[in-house]
Amino acid sequence: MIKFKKVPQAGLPRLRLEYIWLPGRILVAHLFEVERDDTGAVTQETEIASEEFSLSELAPEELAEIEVTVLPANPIVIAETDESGDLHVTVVDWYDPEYEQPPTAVEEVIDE
Amino acid sequence: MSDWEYPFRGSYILDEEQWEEWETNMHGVPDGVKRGIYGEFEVTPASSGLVVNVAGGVAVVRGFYARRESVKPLTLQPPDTANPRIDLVVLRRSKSSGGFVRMVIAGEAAAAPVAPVPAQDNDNWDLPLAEVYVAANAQNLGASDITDRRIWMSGLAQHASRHAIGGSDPLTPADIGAARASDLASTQNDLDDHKNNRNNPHNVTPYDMVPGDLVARIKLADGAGSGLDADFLRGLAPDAFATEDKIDDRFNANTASEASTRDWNTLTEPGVSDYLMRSDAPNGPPIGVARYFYVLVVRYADRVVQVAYPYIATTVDDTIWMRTYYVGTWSAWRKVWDSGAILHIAGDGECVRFPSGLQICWAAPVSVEGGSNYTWTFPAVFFTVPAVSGHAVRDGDFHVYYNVTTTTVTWRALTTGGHSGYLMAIGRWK
Repeated sequence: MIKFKKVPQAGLPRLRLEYIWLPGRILVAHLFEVERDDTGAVTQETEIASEEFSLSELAPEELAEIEVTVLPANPIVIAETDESGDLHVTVVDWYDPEYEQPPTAVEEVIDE
Repeated sequence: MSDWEYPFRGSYILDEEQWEEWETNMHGVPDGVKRGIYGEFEVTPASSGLVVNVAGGVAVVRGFYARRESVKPLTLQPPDTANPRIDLVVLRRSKSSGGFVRMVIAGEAAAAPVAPVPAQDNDNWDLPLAEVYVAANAQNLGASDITDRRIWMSGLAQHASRHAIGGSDPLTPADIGAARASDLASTQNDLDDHKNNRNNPHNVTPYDMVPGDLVARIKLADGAGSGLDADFLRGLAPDAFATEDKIDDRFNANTASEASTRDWNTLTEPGVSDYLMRSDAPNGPPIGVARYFYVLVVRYADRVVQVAYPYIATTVDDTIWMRTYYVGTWSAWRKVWDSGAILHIAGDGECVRFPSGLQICWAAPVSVEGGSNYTWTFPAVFFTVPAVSGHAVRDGDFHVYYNVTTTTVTWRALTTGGHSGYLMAIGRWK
């Protein structure tokens, strides 16, 4: 079981993150560049980078040490397993403070 | 002929010839019909047939007097079958017959007939009364066939009618020295020209001059550089200044395609654009995205200042930029204003983003048990790893920061018990 939580964070200018879970506790973070018109409406989103984080090797009660190599910032706040081996992952949910209100923190449970 | 004089003792008028000589030369009564007596020998067509009626009247011919009180009908010769002719009705004085007779002299029929010549010899002298047109095969006469040829005895009325309007020799105004209408118009034009001629020798008051004349006169007396000439501003004609048309000519980039490709280095003519240049065109302001700007260009000699104003002041990219061209080199763009100003961001703590790129975040107070960690997710991500600091609320608590990233920092309390503290991170957000 994976308990996945996204907490709002003002992102880098004109950048947005999305996350996808792949089998084997692999988290993929996709980085998008966001273009807006003069009114602030999003006109185009272009994926400019992505990075995989494999969390399958964590032993129970182990805290993952994350280092990014592609993304401009480490999107994973914390990734650790509890005593039962469930994976708890918290990531940042980027928004543009110039145009958007902070999103609500979201927590979901993913059955493996 | 022999000498003769009359009236003297022993001299007499012995015959018609002497009477004719005496009357024509002594009294000079002209030949003609006397007006207003009987029917004035008027010739009119009879009601039918080739007959004319000659009215009665009084006439004088060569000094001989005739009076006829009644109308005399005269029958014309039968008409020609092929051509018309003109007959002449006369009052004939005949010495040999000893009197007058009203008669018709028949003309010759011809395609273009002419009237007969009246007899005017020593015996017979005809006083013409009328010409009668006799058409080929004519059976009757009409008024239009009669042409009056009477000569009036007095001569004055005849003479007057001859020179009257419609007469055979009408008098014109020029004949009596009167001015013609065209002459009067020409004279009026001459008068007008004279009146309008400002160089005429008469006195011309300002009231006689039109405004343009007065202005011209003032300019003559005033000379150049007086400031009175409104056609110029500071000695320059209007087209020397920036007008909308001139700006259009100089910038000519009011379409999206032109705005995105036109090199900002080409904008060196002074003026204010009323349309747009785009930041992603060559040498545009380095805002990182395509945004439209108005451009103000100020130039002195070969020195230029460009100022770029945002198209719409509602986005984070609304910044005012300037740069200069001096000694052949463009400076870098410098941001002189940023509508983004200071962004305040709330979350787990607070952050402030400054236009310069400075970002300060703080969290206070946060708590953690001794020996445990507290991972602080910055409300706003840093562009690079920030510097982190903070302090404990309670004296004697020790803590440490580690694992600082652009998004988080972990705070670990080293001493036992509950810890409270204030955390702070300073770094760049762009």
